[in-house]
Amino acid sequence: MAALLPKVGMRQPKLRLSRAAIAAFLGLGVLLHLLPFYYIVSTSLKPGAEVVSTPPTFIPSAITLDAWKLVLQIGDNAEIVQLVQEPFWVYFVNSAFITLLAVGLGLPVTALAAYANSKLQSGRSARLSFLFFIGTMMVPFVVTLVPMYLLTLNFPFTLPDAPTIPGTDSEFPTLRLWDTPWAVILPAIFVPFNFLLFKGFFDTIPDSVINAARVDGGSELNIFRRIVMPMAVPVFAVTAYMSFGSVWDNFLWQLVTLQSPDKVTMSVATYQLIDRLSTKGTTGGGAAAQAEGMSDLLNSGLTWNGMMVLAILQSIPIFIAFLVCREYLLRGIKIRGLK
Amino acid sequence: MRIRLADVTKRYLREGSLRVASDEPPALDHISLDIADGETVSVVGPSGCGKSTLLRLVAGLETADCGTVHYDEHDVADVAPQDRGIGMVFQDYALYPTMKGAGNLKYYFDVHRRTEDEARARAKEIADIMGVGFELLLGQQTTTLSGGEQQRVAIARCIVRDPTLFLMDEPIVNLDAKLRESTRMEMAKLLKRYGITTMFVTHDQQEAVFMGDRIALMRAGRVVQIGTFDELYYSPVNLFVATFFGSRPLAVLPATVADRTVRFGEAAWPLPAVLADRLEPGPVRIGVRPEAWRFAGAESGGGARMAVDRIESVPAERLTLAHGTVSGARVTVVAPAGTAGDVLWLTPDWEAATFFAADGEHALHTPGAPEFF
Amino acid sequence: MTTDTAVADATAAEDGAQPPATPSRSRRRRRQLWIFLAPAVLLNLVWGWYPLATSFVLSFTDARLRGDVTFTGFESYERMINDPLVAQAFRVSIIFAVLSIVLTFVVPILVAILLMEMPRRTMRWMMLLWFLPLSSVGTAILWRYVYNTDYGLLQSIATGLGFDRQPFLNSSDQVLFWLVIPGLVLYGPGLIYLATLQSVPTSYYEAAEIEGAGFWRKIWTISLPRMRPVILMMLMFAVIGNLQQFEWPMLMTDGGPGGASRTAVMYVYDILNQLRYADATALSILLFALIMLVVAVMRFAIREDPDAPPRRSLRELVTRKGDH
Repeated sequence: MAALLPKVGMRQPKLRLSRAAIAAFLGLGVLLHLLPFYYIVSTSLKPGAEVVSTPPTFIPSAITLDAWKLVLQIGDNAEIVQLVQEPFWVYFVNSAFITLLAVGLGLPVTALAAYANSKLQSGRSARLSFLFFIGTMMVPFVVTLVPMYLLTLNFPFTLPDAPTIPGTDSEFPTLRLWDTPWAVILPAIFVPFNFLLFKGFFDTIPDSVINAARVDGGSELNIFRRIVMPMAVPVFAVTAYMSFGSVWDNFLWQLVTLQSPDKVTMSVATYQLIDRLSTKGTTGGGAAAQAEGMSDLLNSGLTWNGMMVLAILQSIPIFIAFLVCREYLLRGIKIRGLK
Repeated sequence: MRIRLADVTKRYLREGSLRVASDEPPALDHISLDIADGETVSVVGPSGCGKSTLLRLVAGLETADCGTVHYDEHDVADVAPQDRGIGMVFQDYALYPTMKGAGNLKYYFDVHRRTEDEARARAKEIADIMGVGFELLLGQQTTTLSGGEQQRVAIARCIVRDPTLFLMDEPIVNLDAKLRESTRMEMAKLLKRYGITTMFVTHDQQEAVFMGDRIALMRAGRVVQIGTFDELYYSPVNLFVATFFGSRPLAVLPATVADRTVRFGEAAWPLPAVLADRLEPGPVRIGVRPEAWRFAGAESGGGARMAVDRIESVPAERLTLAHGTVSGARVTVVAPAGTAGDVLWLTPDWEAATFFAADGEHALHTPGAPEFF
Repeated sequence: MTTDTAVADATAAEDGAQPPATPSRSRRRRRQLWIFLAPAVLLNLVWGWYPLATSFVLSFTDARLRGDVTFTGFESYERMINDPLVAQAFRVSIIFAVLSIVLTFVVPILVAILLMEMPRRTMRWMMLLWFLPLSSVGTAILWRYVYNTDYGLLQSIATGLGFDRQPFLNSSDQVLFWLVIPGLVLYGPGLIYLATLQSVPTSYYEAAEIEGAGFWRKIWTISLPRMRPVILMMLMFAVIGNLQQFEWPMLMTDGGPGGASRTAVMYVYDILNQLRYADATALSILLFALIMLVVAVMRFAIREDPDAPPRRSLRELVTRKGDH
């Protein structure tokens, strides 16, 4: 524990006051932070009419699971089916599949590379491969957005169409990843920031432990599995939590690469639904479109309370990931910046 | 197993350089070493002298730039550390932190696909050897053990596999003084019992002397001298070796030899015939150990005048030490009990004095080990 | 496979037979290294460096819709620079980033420093509450509701306090400010600061206390300098991330009203939707240039710090041993 306030003389009124002030400040912050959580949950439990009434209620006048039923049994509701073609669990499963695969493949791949960089390489080659892995971290995502989009269309070409094979009329065969889960999974496997976290952690493991295991006769893979991985549980937890959140909650890339109604993820489906609730700010005929969209939704019984249910469904996995990993989060972060 | 190193050189890449520069001082510089089967060799030297590198190289954790390492007749350049049949103890013990003590011992058997029973039997055997209470340590998480306990587990992990070569990298340096003493004893006993070839790296001369049949003194990547303690103490090849050993400082007197006489400051002594024949006239440096002085009264003449700064008594060894200067050179002498006063008159014991070149550090004449009995 | 040879070798060694020399120990080592590295190298090449490289190539072509692609030099850049909406989008992105960093960057640092003052047990559950995550998509949906001008919570608070009815997200002047506000109560990065602070030995603070340093002085001379590299890294991430803001404007305002919250990345997305690949790439590279400029200026400004280590040359960076 840090000791900004002296330990001696803790009972002095001035120090007591400082301590109380800090606690109060932190408590207030927690309150502000938790307010959105409360409001999401309480809104999701309100009846449909109360949600759009003025003034809004802070405490639900009546608690009802209507919104939850509506969202979870969306397929049974003819009117919503016109808005969202698939039941929501389809989107949920899509998101879960993509996220679990990306994290499940990503952690071992990234960890092995970071371990090799930290313990098997040295000197110039270590530095060069470190830069190779880290170099793409500082590149803004938007720069590679278009080429990556084209890459998913015509793998391995970053072109709108596959080029023709010289001397013939036929095109190079390409692989179409676009509108498949793999378009989201593959780019999310190796994450430079996770590499940095792993490397920072592995650097703190003494070489002598690895050397002892080598003398004992473990192969590098065995050493990694038996000796290093158990030591690295905290950093695995951190990276798992972080990449879980970033894949599950990713929006732009999934919006670009997923289109078929049965392939899109939670975040994209939520966006598509909310889009219909909304005014298209830039276009002139917005009001009419909004009114129409609203009436569709209201007819179906889905209003903001339903949207809150979606927000909760979107949050729950991240929430769970946090609870699972929280014990290790602080112990797993060992970075000293980029230098 | 006999270990032979021939002309081994190892350079590390300097930070920030693209390739190994030839002017970079090597970590190991043309090292040749021959360790007999069953022998224990202590490798000692100041920090950064390359002793740990030497050990890691013998273990196969480093590769030599040139030169060869032989285990018996076999060049082991292409043998991985796990295939060399060695046991190694590290300075920080390097126990596997996520395993219990027993797991640390068992890992070797796991990766070599031995049976569970064999691992358990061996662990039991080792526990008997390691003495009372050791079995308790095996059941504990290694991170909860004290330094001394960790060290015992580390040694057990090293011998559990019946190694043909022990490599120890400052294994007891992190223990407190008292524990170090007893551990040293215990380890010496173990080494004797197994009779396995051992390399023991340390920076502590006492430890080196205690553990090693022979001692290799290293400096700047070279083995300066290798031999028994007596050889290094009484026949040092140079001033570095002479000053390294001995718990109390060696006095170094710049002197001149002329006309079968040696002059130092105001004092002049006739040289014994043996020495006078061997030493060329000219400047020399004389190394005299604290115990190698003779005392004379002021009136007897011929002695050198020592201005005493401080008298120190060492009750445990029933010694009185006098620290001071003789003609500007720092001198410490073992003085007769009850010595007092500001002045002592001294004469070196010529049979125990070492002569070094004045312009270099190599020895011109060494006394050789005295015949005590 | 290595384990098998190891077993064979060890048995041989025990029998006193010659330890079979594997002819290429260094080659075996290198092969092992590549088994570890290969998947990551491959993925980082294909999904990292390759798109990055081709991005620059694409921006100099006329790639759009389908069909052949030819080089057209700076035409795409010209078109983008002369597009008035691009200037607007950049302005939006910059204002958003500045607002967001000014309003939300410092709080998590402060929170982390103060959390360290709490007794260990208190800290544990406070940490749990402070860093409880909410999906950012979910946050956007919630705030969109809260900002509703008719039945939103904020409107009723505003009118309850005696203000006029507020336009919130419908005001082109205020929309960016309101978009930044939800970030005020998200403290995620505080976790990283907290982890950094935990590695500062207490003895530092005790030494400072003996010197007579008080509360703020300890923060200023110990906590902050210790966190400095991590703070700088997070600042860099915040700049890069906020200049690429997409999600919240997209979910909360869809760029409205009248493009007042259409960020640069949203405009890239719009152009991509029109299948104008070259234009979209050129625009994103312009944004990249802006980001790099800001980062470079930041690094230069930060270098003014007298305690900062001397900057390393690129060659040094490349050849530095490990990262220790």
